[in-house]
Amino acid sequence: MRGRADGGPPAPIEHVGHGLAEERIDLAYRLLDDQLTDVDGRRCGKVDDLELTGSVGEPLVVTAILTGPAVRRTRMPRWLARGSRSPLVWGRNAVRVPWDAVDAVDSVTSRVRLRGRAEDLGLGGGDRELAPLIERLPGAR
Amino acid sequence: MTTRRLDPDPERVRRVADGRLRLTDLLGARAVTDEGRPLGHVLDVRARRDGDRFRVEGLVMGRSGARARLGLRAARRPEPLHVRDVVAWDDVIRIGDGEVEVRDRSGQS
Repeated sequence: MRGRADGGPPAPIEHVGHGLAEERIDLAYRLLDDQLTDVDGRRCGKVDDLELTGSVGEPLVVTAILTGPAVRRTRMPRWLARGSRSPLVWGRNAVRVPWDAVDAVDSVTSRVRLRGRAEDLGLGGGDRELAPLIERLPGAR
Repeated sequence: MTTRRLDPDPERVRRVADGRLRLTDLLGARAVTDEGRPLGHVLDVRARRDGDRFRVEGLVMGRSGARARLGLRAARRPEPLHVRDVVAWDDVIRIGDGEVEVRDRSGQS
């Protein structure tokens, strides 16, 4: 991990070209479950799925990153996902981050850096809600 | 052709019809040729950079999912063991629920 010991934002990842340095990638291996960080280096979710736009006989293109507990549920085995569809278990939060918002991917640290701030992209809402409670815990500051 | 029918997932069926797939709709799908020959399962989706976007080039196939997950097979090599382990996206004929049908090119060199 590249995070600082004082809990501040992690060191900026190295910019690896415009988006990704590699010409060819295996999407699940390279991107799935990678850490999302916003333009300030704040961790704001993970790559839970990718949206691919197109159809058979046409080009199929990566158009968005999907993140959030509601997206994660769909990756569970069907019998498990079906048995626990309640939002109380998985939450309702599902966020679509357009691929245009991706600034860089660091395959060494498995981070995907976004161009905007987490709040502007609709990310990190859970952290913001819990922040007032966490701040009260001894040693939180 | 005998295939194992999975329970249909209405959300997935709708996504495929709308042309907005998810990566995980493809992962794990059984692949069969139009001649009915099983090719294994989709282990990954290979994409090539096309400007600022990534365009899907093919489906990385594999038969030994369990062995690969246990580390008994080099599943995460940058290149597949054989070129034929990647099915070109252009050869995909149909995407079903948990199943992908591809053009059989086994007779071609």
